[in-house]
This record gives sequence, C-alpha cells and structure tokens, in this order.
Amino acid sequence: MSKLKVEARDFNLYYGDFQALKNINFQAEPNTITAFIGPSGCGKSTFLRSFNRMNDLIVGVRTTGETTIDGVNVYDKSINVDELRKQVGMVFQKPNPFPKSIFENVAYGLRVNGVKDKTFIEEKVVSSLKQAALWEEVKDKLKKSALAISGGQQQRLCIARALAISPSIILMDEPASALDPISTAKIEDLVYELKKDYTIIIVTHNMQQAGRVSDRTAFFYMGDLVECDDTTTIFTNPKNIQTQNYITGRFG
Amino acid sequence: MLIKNIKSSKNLKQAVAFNTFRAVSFMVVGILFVILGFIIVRGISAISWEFLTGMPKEGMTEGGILPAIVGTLCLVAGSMLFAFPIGVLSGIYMNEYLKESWFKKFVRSMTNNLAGVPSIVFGLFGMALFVQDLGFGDSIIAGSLTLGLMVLPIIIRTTEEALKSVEDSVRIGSYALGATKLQTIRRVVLPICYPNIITGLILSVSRVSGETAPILFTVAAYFLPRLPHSIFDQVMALPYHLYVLTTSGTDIEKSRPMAYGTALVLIAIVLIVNLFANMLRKHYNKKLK
Amino acid sequence: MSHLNTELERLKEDTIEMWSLVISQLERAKLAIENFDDNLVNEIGANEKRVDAFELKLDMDCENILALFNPVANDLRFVLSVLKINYNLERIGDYAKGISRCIKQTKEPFSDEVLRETHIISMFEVALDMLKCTLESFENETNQQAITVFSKDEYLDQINREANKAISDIIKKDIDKAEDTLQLLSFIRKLERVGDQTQNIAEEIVFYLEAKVLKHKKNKTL
Repeated sequence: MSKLKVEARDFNLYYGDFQALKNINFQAEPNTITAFIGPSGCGKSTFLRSFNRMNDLIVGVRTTGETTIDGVNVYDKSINVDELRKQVGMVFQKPNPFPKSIFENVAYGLRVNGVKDKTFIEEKVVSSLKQAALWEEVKDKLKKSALAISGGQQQRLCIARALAISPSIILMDEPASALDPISTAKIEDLVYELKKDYTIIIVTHNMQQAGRVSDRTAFFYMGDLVECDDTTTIFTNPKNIQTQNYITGRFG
Repeated sequence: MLIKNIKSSKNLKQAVAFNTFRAVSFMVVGILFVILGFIIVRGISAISWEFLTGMPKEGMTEGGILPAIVGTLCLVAGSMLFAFPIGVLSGIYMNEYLKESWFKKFVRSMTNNLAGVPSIVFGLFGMALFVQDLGFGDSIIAGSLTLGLMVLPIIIRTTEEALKSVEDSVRIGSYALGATKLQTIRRVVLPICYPNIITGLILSVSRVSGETAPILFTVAAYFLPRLPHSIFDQVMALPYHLYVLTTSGTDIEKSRPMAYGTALVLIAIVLIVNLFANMLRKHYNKKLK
Repeated sequence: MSHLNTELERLKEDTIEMWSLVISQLERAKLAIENFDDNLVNEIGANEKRVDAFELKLDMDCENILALFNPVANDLRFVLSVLKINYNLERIGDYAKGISRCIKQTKEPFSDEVLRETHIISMFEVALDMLKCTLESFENETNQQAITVFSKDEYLDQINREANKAISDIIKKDIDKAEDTLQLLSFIRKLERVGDQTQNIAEEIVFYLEAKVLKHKKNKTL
C-alpha cells in the first residue's frame, strides 16, 4: 500500500453541542480523486474544511481525534494555520475571485506569502493559468478585472489561484454547482487532469459528477462516514443499503 | 365589461399614485433650485477677486472673506485628519474583530446616540475639554477636534456598513490561500470598501464645513483680519462669519450682499469637495469592475 | 480529451482485441481440421480462457461506464452495442472451442474430397470473412462492410440446409467412418451459428452507427 496523503482517525467535530462529524476514519492516497457525497447537512463539507481548518473561522467549533496530511496532525498545537492553508488549496461553490485584475488574483497567494521576486511571480501566474486550462482564454486580458470574465472562467481562475501557491492537496466544495453544463464539463476535465500532480477531494451534490471524476467515493449521512470505497464499487455494488438508496435516488 | 371596469379603476389608482409621487419629487427638486437660485442671484454681485482674496474691512461691510475661507478649509482638514483614521479604524475593529456580543451592541448603540447629539452640545463639550481643561484655548486644534468628534459616528457607521457589505466568500477565499486576517482586510476587503468609505467622508466634510454651533465656543473669531500661523491660532470660519454678518455686524444692511456672497462661497466649497470625492469614488469603483 | 472519451476509447480497443482473438480462434479451428493438428486444438483450449476473461472484463467495463458516466445518445448506443457484441463474440469463441473438441474425438483426418464435398473450408472462409468485415466496420465506424454479411450469411444457410443430404451421401459411401463424418455435420451446424452470431454483431454495429434496429427484419437494408 502506498503512503497515505490524507487520513482521519476517530475524528469528531462539534458545533457547540451539535456533533457534526462522528468518529470519522478516512484515508486517501496521493494522486487520487475522492468524492464526498451525501444529502445536505450530512457533514461532507464540514469534513472537507477540516483538512485546512477552515472550520476554525466558525465560532464554537471543537474537534477530537486527528486529521493528518502526510502523517502530520493538522490539529496539533504546533501547526500554524496560515502555513497549513498554503499546502492545501481550496476551491469554493461560488466562484469568488477578488475584485482585482486576473493577474493579481493568481499572484495574490504568492504576495501574501511574502514572495517578492517579480519574474517568479509572473512565471507562476502563467503556469498556474495554463494548468487551470484558462491561459488561452485570458492571456490578452491579464490586466482586466477578474469580475469581467464568465462564471466558468472565474471558477477556473479560482482553481489557478489555488494552484499558484503550489499546494499538494486541493479541496473542492461543489466547484461546479453554480455553473452551466459546458463549464461544468470543463471543470471536470480539469479536475481529472490535475490528478497527475495533486491529491484532490471534491464535495459534490451531483452523483453523476462523483462517478465521472472520482477514483474513490465516500458517502456521508448524518455526520457518519457510511461507506468509502472505489467509485466503481460504490456505483455498481455498494455494501451499505443507505448508500444504495442514496445513489439510486431513493432518499435524500 | 366587468374586467374592463376593474382594469380602468386600477389604472386610475396607478395614475393618481404615480402623479403624486412625481409631483412631490418635482417639488423637492424645485425647492432646492429656488434656494440655490436665491443665493446665487443675491450673492453673485458680491463675488469678486478682492472678495475671495482680501481681508474684511470697514466693520466687515467691505473687503473680502479670505480668512474665513482659509479657516473653514483648516477646520475641514483638521477634523478629517483626526476623525477619518480613527473612524475607519474603529469601524474595522467593530466589524472585523469584535465578535457579536452585548458589548458590541452597546458600543454600536452608543455610536448611534452620539450621532444624534445636537451639535451645540458638542460645542459645549469641546469648549470644556479642549479649550479649558486641555488648555488649547480658542484654536484650530480645539475646533477641529470638536468637529471631528461630531462626525466620528458617521464615519464609523459608514465604514462598518461598507465592510458588512463585502461578501464573506471573498474573505474566506483569501484565508484559504494562507492570508492572515490583517492581510485579508488590507489587501482584499478594504479596497472593495473604498467607494463606500469615501461616501462617508463626503457626508462628514459637508457636515463639518457647514456647522456653526461646535465652533462657536472653540475656535471661531468674530473678526480677525489675518491668516492663521499655527494650529493654536483662532480663525474665522464661513458659517460663523455668515451668522455674524447677518445678525450682529456693524451695519447689517450694508453687509447683506457680503452675507449672500459668503453663503455662495460656502456652498461652492461643499460642492467642489463633493465633486472631488465623487470622482475619487468613481475611480475606485472602476478599479473594482 | 474528456474522461468519458478516454474510457470509451479503451473499451473500443479491448473489444477489437477480443474480436481479433476470436477470429484467430476460428482460423486455428480451420487449420486444425485441414491439418489434423493436435497442437492447434490445445491452443484453442488455452485461448478460450482468454476469450472468457475478455468477456467478463468488457461486461464489467460496460457496467462501470453506464454506472459512472451515464452516457447518452451515440455514447449510450456504443456501450449497449459493445455489451451485445461482446456476448456474441464469446459465443463464437465457444463454437471454435466446440469444433476443436470435436476434432479431438475424430479418429482419422478428413480426406480432401470429403472436405470439398461438405464445403467445410469455404464455410470457414465465409464465416471468417464476415467476422473481419464486421470488425473493420466497428473499427472505422462505417457500416458498408457490416451490411455485406447479411447476404454472405445466405451461403452458410444454404450449405446448412443441404447438409443432411451431403453427410448421408458420404456415410453411405463409407459406412465405417460414419462417426467421424457425423462430426462434419456438427461443424456445419456450428459454422452456421457463427454466421448468425456475426449477423447479430452487424445489426449491433448498425444500431450503434445509425440508431436503426434491423433485428427480426426480413429485409436488412438501411
């Protein structure tokens, strides 16, 4: 078995008195795509945000157990959250580019991390945009505002922005749910391409999307990780009846 | 037939409502133009190069109003220098750092109350604190601080509202890239807010340049035909000068045209500052789009 | 290229590989009859396992593609037709294996005269030609070659119809070899079935390419 990139051991998360995640045990190998599926409020997004501790921003969050990246517990006291977030790129449901130029959006992560070298920043911006399959569409308008491009392009810009800080993991929270089918297909193809260089975890409400892009699928329900297996197994022969009911659309 | 009747009665109501709204709007605009026209017509004859650049002479019935213009500009600049940074910083603290609690609610309601305090009370307070206790005497600094205190709530509120209107998704996007809270506020959130914060600035400037009561006991000179040398000097100011010319000049009838001229200059200054701030706001808005 | 396209391309390649394997099985069977070669018979037996493994793999791949990608339109028809082509190919593989088993039970090689009278070799040739035509069609995604098999199959049917008489004539001539000669009848029957299976495959190709159903139609024109 190859080395684990991401792991959770007996992980619990509470919003005040409410337990949002119950004793989660989860593993992901490097260069794989894992899809989190489950009905709204099942905890999949919460779990996703545990890997870069975005849950810390919410008042009253408490955790027990471990989530590790490359074997290091991200909830350890010695961890600097800002440093952690540089290793873990994140893409959100709604494209959220900054009201800056396209170039500055991608350069932002480097700038806030203290990179001053202009040529390095330029090279990184170009390579990130290329990696995000956006370069051809925006190369002539890098100085233009990021708010002027289409929603699908904005989302790919957000992916480029995340890639620029050279993370090893990319978390995606329903990255295509606000996009039209063509843009969605582009994002999905992109995600599939990015697998070569990154470990990707993607939350999706769209079952077909999970099938199309992921290697492994994890089904969450009411804060439990019900079943996690190869996507082909989940989609053809799930072990758990709840998983089967969910993916066949019989509940949720 | 029935349908037609209902329709026509509906249409009638629509028409009445629409026309009422329109009439009221025109009335408001009309009044504004009447005031402006009145002041321009009466004041324009007084405007001359000497009026704008000269010292008052002959018991303020002749000469210019330069000291008052300079005084008002000094007070606007001074009060903004004091109130703008403090107001913006506390607005940022209130919205970005202070968690929702009874304390925050308390501070916010106090800020609102402060905005409602009559300006003469500010004047009295300014006199007690700055003029007497701190020993600044009647001076630009005492006046500026008093005016600054008065507009502080406006700046705090507009800053807070501006920050509140920034979508959380943008902040979260920044955090996710490893930016600290300070970096996020400085590099992403504030630039989005500039246009709205500048709106607050415009309101404050208009307010400061037009107020008489707060400067009455803290800075304004009845008659001082020279320019200030330091921030501890007394100055004349346009609104107070206007008051003096209209009510207690040496020869009220003779100085009447001077009063209208002063009013015109005051309005012009406010208008020019507004125009400038509007341009600034447009500039930042454009940068965002 | 999109993920689905990659998967479909892979499915196509695997199907073509299985197809070629089945064709080679049938060719071995033909050679084994001509040369009465035991080695070839054994080879067929060994390769039959590969054919079966291919069938399982293609079935699973089709299932996964249907489950994960929910293909539609021509993609859906492609997967469905591969599913059925796969089944038919496996059956043809089985016939090759059946023929090889019969050869094993045969005591003496067949004489050239007997083979000529029963048209066994030409049946093989026609069946192989049909299989190759359909494979070519499938590879190039054109149906010209595929639709030729419908007329070619008539030759196999005709020999099959006349087989009873031909075989009984041979038996009458040499009653001692009756047991071996009866094997020839089963070859003819099996090759006729191969022709039918290939026709089914051609129908699937037409269904994939043209979305037309030719099944159970007398007149198989487009």
